[in-house]
Amino acid sequence: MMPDDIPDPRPAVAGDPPAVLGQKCADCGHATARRVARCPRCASQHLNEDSWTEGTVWSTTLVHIPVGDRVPPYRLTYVDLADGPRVLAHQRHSGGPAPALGLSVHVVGINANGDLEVSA
Amino acid sequence: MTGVSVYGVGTSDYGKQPHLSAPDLAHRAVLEAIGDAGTDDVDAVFVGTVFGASGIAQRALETAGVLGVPIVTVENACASGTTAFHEGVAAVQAGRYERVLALGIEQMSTLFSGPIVPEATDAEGASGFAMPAMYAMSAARYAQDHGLTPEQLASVAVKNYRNAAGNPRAQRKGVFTRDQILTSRPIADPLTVLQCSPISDGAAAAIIGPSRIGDVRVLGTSLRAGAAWGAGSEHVWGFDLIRGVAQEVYEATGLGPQDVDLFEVHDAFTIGEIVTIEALGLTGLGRGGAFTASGATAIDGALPVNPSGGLLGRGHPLGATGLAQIAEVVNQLRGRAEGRQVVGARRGLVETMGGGAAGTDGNACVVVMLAS
Repeated sequence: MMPDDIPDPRPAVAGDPPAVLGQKCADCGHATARRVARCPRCASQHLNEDSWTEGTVWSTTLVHIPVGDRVPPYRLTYVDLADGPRVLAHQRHSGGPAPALGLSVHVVGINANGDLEVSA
Repeated sequence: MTGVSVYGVGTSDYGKQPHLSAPDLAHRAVLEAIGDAGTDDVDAVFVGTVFGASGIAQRALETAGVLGVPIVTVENACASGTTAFHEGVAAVQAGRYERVLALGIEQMSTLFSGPIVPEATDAEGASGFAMPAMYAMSAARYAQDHGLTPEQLASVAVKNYRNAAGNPRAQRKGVFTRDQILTSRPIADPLTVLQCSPISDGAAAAIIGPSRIGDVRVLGTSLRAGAAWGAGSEHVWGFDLIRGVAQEVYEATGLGPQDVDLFEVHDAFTIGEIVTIEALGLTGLGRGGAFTASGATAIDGALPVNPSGGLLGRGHPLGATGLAQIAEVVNQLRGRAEGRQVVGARRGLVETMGGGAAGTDGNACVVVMLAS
């Protein structure tokens, strides 16, 4: 869990269906789920608000050790959101088989730990 | 610009040493480097540390009798030690200082009983992410893109623990089979505990100055942070950064990987060495696993990698690691790496990769080319 006295740096989710909120560069197309003042790729200040509801699995791992207060095993996945950024997410139902890389997933929301959660 | 040589190097032992403070570790390395260089006359000190408390450099240097000069502390994750070295070299090259002490320090075993606690202000660190998971996902993606067997991954660890057996200061050493590597405790699939560098305490130091005949010379050094990394990036994390920094050194020196006799690279996890040797150009993209399993990177192979045991075997005290790599290559080029000597070594290359900031291809990578 995040301490209460610092801004939460994790992706924000809103809407129905749930969508990750972020920004997209109008000049180079680079997208980010973090708040940035200029584009991390091209330094443009032409940033548009954007949101993404689904994507594909870029890679995944089942973590067997406790990290922070996460209880193992839990599955972490890098998701390439459609026309959006790559975000780190927790996989719902992480005890199942590993999702194939390239599998389509959708944003579920924020779990009890405050982490972004996705599901196939 | 002034040419630069390494006058002397020194290190502590590596391993879990909770009975030793950071200053205890540091003065062992500094006094050995002073003895090796034959002088304690330095004009400035650059210190690399990741988890060191405020003032750690001054507290450590007070115990080593090195005070009253500029002391600059730098942090670049696992590349902090090589960043200190790089900045020291740049300062001597520019004529800013005559002699510089570069020092790396890390006391980790008193801070962590398990994995390193993630940075809570980072989007991924705050999400239960730790470096084993990053490298594990690199391994899974790499296997999908290029093909990689568990046995090829394990061959990195088998080699580096065998090399570490010849290094009296190494932390984890011995004869392990690939099966023992693969059946050790799982950490983050497909990585097992023997594919992950251990929590380690240590310090390492180098004294550098204008080039002198007979000393190991710095042929080239380069440092930068990674670009934006994410959707659309062609390669796994860190590859593009390492390749770009290495290319800068190759272009500056007019030399390539085939001109180098040994490599000390960032094998914090087994997949890291495979990705790194490809990014450095030792072998082609997607061939690193088979190249390692063939024995080409063994001490007696065509292109020896991590004769010290690497981060897996020697240990990985984060801020000290880069200077531990420098010390190893300097001793190899002097013919003083008894038990693990690469025969006839004349040129060596160090690569250190630091990571952890979400959205980047790495916090920093440093590549250094040295020659006898």
